[in-house]
Amino acid sequence: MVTKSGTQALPAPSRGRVIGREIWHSTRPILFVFALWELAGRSGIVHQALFPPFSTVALRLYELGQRGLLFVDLAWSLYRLIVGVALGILLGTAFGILMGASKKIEVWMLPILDFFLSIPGVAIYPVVVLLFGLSNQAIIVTLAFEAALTVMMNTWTGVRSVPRILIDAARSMGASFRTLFYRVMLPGSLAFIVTGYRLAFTRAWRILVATELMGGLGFGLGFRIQQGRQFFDAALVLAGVLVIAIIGVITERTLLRWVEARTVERWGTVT
Amino acid sequence: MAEKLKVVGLSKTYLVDQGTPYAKEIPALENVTLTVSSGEFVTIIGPSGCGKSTFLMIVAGLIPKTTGEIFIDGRPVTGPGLDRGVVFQEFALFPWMTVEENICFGLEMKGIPRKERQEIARRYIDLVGLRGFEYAYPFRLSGGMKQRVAVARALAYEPAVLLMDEPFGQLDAQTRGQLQKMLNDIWERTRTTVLFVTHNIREAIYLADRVVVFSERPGRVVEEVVVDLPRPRDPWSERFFTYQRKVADALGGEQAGFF
Ligand SMILES: Nc1ncnc2c1ncn2[C@@H]1O[C@H](COP(=O)(O)OP(=O)(O)O)[C@@H](O)[C@H]1O
Ligand SMILES: [Mg+2]
Repeated sequence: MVTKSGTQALPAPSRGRVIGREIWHSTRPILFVFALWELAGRSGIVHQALFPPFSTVALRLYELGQRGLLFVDLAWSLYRLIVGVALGILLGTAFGILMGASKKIEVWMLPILDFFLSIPGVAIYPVVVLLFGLSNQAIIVTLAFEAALTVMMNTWTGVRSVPRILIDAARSMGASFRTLFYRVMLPGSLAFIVTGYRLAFTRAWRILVATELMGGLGFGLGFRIQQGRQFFDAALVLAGVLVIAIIGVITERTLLRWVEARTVERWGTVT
Repeated sequence: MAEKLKVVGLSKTYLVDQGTPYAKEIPALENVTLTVSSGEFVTIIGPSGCGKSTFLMIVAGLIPKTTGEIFIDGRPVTGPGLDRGVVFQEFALFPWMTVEENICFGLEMKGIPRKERQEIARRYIDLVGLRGFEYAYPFRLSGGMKQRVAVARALAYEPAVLLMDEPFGQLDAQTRGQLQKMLNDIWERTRTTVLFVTHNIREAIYLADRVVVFSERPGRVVEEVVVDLPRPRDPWSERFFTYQRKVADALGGEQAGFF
């Protein structure tokens, strides 16, 4: 193909090929780690019962899947994660924007936010358990709490980063506070907000597994790992960890990337 | 001609670092009185930092005044509103809206129904020569194109007065010239009332019916020069040059750096 200026244009690769290559590039290093794991497991440095190779764990995972137990655990964990983070996102976004938009609210909320942010999420859990018992609610509340704080902090930073001149432009056209909120502050801070959601997911996911590990509940990936440890079932422990990692990567890579590609990247507000 | 905009005894003092030992008062404007007639194009020129933007933003209702009165069509101005359109030096387009959506924003605030909004937006996109860019996001546009959109956005909802704060100050010389020509064309056709801030003498004379010269900070009106030249103006004519000299002298002449 020859373009107007006479230079040779490179043939454009097909969309499928581009996506395929992207997937290959991001999975290649992981496969390499699995291979190392397999070798280490078989080398006999550590007894196979304590550190089984990848193939044994994969087989165990397959068994768990066949019995259906894996999916029950997964469903429980995801249920807690999604409900907790969703609650946290709703509250965190609303309060974060209010805090960024109003100096009065900021003066009151910021010290409180700083105070709670300094407490690790897992340390909140025992307190919540005192109120809710060892229950689903306790986990969900803990996750919502952590997610809300994280989202609030990022949203607040985002709103303050919205250029003054854009707020002025909207005001000059008679925009009400409501309009400013939805049409200027929210989209203007979206890059930060999405980063906040992403962080909230990651943190909530860690806390979820930690709280499940503390036991008491009959299902959940963390619970299953804990059970594996009690019965010296190393393959079960590692299988649980593997699923946790895979789920983490999938939420990060698909859900949130999708949101970003459709908003802030289209607007050129992030590159 | 009817008075469109009337500013009486406007003063502004900025208070900085309040509540600290460094608290200070910065007088930015001192007793400015200015009247703009309906359909008149007035430019304000003055040295950098003399309070031009402050003046325009107070008229826009975006920053509070210290003393004085502002009237549009006899009604006192208390805050921002759709009776004034503002074009900022920094373009100030919403990055998350396409060209068309940016222009529709003001129309929406005015309560115009969706279908009509789109028709009006299209008309103004044509007016500023951006047909084909309706769905482009601002980051894909050059500086000149962005400012065309901003002009269209401010004109589209038909404000009584158009306020422009050094709108072409960030553009290269040629683009700047093109936009000056475009603005002159649009103004000749629409005869909107315009208050235009600049620190460029040639721009001021090329566009204005009347050039208002501000002093150093705190800004005061030191001279008003009525430009009596047929439009579009010939910037190489003898008379254009005479006006240039007159405004430069009012600004302090060659000693002040105007030549
Ligand atoms: N928000 C502010 N707080 C304190 N001083 C300000 C503020 N804005 C402008 N000033 C001061 O007021 C003066 C006039 O500023 P400005 O109106 O931007 O001038 P111009 O547009 O003519 O260059 C300057 O000395 C500037 O430093
Ligand atoms: Mg200025």
